[in-house]
Amino acid sequence: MPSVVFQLLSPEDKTVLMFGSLVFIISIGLAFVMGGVLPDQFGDADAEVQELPLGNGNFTASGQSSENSQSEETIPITDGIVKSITVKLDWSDEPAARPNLANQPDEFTVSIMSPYGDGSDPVTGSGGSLSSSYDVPEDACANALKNGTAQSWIVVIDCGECGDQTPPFLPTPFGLRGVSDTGNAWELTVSYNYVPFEEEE
Amino acid sequence: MSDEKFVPYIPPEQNLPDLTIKAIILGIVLAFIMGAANAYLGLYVGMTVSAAIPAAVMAMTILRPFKGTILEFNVVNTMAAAGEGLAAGVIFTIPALLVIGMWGEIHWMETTAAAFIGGILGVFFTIPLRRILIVDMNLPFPEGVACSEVLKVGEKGGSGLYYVFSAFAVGGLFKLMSSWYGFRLFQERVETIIGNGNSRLMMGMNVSPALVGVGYILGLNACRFIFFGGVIGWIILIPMAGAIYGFPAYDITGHAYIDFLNEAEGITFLWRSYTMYTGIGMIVIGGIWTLITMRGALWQGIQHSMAGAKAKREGLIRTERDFPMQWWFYIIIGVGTFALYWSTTKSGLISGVATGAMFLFAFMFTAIAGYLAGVIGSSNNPISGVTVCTLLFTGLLLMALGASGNAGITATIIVAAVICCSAAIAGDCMQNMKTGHILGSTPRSLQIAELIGVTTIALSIAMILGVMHEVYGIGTRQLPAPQAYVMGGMVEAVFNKEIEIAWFALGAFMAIFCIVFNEFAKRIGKESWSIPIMAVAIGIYLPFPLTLPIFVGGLMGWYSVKYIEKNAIYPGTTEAHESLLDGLKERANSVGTLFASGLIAGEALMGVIIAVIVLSGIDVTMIGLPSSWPGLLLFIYVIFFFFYLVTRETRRHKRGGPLSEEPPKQENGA
Repeated sequence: MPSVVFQLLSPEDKTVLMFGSLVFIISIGLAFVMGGVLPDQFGDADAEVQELPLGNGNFTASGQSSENSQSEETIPITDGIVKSITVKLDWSDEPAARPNLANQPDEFTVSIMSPYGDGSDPVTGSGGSLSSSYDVPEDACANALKNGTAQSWIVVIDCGECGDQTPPFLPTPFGLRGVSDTGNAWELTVSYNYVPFEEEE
Repeated sequence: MSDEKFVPYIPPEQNLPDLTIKAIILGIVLAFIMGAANAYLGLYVGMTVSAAIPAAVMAMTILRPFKGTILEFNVVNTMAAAGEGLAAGVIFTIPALLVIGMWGEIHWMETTAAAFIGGILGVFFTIPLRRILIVDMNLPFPEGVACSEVLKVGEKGGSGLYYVFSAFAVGGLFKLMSSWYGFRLFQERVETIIGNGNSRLMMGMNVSPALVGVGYILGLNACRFIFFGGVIGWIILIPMAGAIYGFPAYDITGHAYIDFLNEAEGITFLWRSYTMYTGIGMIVIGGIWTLITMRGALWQGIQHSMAGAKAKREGLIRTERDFPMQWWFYIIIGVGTFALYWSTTKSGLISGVATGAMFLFAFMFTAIAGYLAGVIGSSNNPISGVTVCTLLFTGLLLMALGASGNAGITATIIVAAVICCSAAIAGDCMQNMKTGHILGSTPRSLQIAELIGVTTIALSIAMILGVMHEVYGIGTRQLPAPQAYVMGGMVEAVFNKEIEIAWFALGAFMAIFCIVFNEFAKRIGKESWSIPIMAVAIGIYLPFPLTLPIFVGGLMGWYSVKYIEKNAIYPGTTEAHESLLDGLKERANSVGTLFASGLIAGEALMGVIIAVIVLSGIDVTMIGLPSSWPGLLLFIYVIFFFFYLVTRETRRHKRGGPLSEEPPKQENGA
């Protein structure tokens, strides 16, 4: 069949196809000559990051959140580029105001927003303590280290439903027989390790 | 605009087997495979592949030994495409609940219900739209045309086979060489950043012969307006956004400073955060206006579909018989939707209003998605724009009804998931209906095939997502779900009242300006001045590197006609000259459409093969960080070769040779 097709081609067709074959070969040759190797792009910098001694840092904050609200805490880090970061959110739910009421737990969500546009998955709970961690990818860390600019990390604290104090079994029409809960205080503890900036001589 | 005289490949009076047991079994298998592959690909790299053409080729290969007919092949690819489309609708929305922490795991019942209701509704809504968009308005549907050409040459062979399969090889090979997950011999995109300070613009082009093929089929008239939209979006609005917000920019919520690894990411960020909304605003207003202008035809279409049960009795020809719709189908869907929303919101008011709004929005966005697929094709259909729009509208509606916090965000995404599933399959369904229209399939058989394909993937998508989440973790580095992050972030922005409404309003204003201008042009008898709003809107929305090769394809087609007119030798009389020109142009159009179809088909099939490579974890890459220039060189040659083939007959005539006796005939319903 290929020979039949070839016989149908005019001399002009053959010239065009020969030219195409030449362009194809040149393109493939150029592709190998001009192409680079991806792992080398950050490879050296990664090694540098891994070899450098890491510093440790801490940050604490406290605040009050009202029900169904979101607040943010900015953590300025000026000593270097963060490699990993862990946040811990603690809060204490109030005890029941009366013996016949049961206190429903308050729900919080915490997440970390990195300066690279992504962050940790939000963690939600109502047990009085939550923690979330984020490890910076090696290539992003190496690249940020090259730029040498200080970064701001953000911890997002979501206060969800604050459980009211209600009778254990009976309904509470219009909330008349319960004690409403409108929010809670919290404490935030942030710990991180980082690659220090090189000091200028 | 109607093509009443059009005779399909299989005439209405000829009855061939179509919805057979073997076609249904193969269709179910392919719908599942394509749906699962697309779910993984979409969550892994944020892209999906069009299933219709690869499924058509697979159907031809598998069913031919069993004496399969061309209509059976069409049934199989319709089922596969319905499954693939529905999977895309689900993965754009449901995983957003996981990545923003609303769900800890896939909720099987809600996911299945949203996919099933949305999918079935999408099929039902496209029934009245088929007659309007395909028969009456005769929109181009480039991939539907391509699929029909592949099936036809596969069936009858002849010289058309050489054109389609040589282009098939070129398109497939190009995709394999340029894909990041293929050989990666060169970059898929050539781009450069111009400007300094905060105002920069990106000039670039995807070196994709398939997009040139799309442009050729669309023609220069549509392509120039898509390109015009691209110029507005990427050469005017992007530098403007950079000047206003700074470059690199702060993200949409003002939270984080983005440290871009390269400038192109910065440009993309400006597009995703600001100017994309201008395109969406224009698509929404343009879409609503299109629905208003075709309201009469729309009502007729609904009546026609409702009368489908009586069609046979009334003597309607086979190729005009639709699935017999009944009002009570919608009532059952309404009850199911209400139950789904009530299980999520626990509010009768919100569920009732959301169910009503869902019907309205789903019909509106299904019609818009179907129209967009007709203008640009389903692979380039800005379905993510439709999804963003759905989330925006639904979020605002639920907020107005009092929904808030995490419960409001969850409810919005569930409500929007149904609408997105409906809109997502509309594009694929309409492409297959166009293929069926050209081939002479019975619409009723294709609509039943769509229902089977939708049911297949709706019943399995929760399991597919559940397994993926269990094994890889949706939203983690192994399965980043980029689209889900965008959609989830957008719903959060709506509820935090941080959405960039000004850019959306700009698009809406531009659409209104076009509407007023078009009405003015009509009043003064200059309808040729009209601006096709949707084409411009698509241009603003789509990345400029995609619109440029489409424009090149349209330009190449236009120039080939000019070349023929200039080089045809005058035979002595005006009548003979006009006849000669018509003959040469018809041959050129036939060859061009066949070659363009092959390019689109080759890239689509290779997209599936590359998906298999990704799924199997095999690394076939040859170069780590490829250059873009070798690809551009080869791309320019392919365009030259395309032009050479289209004008080959004219050159032969100029040299004194006779016209070929049997030109590759092509019927595209256009």
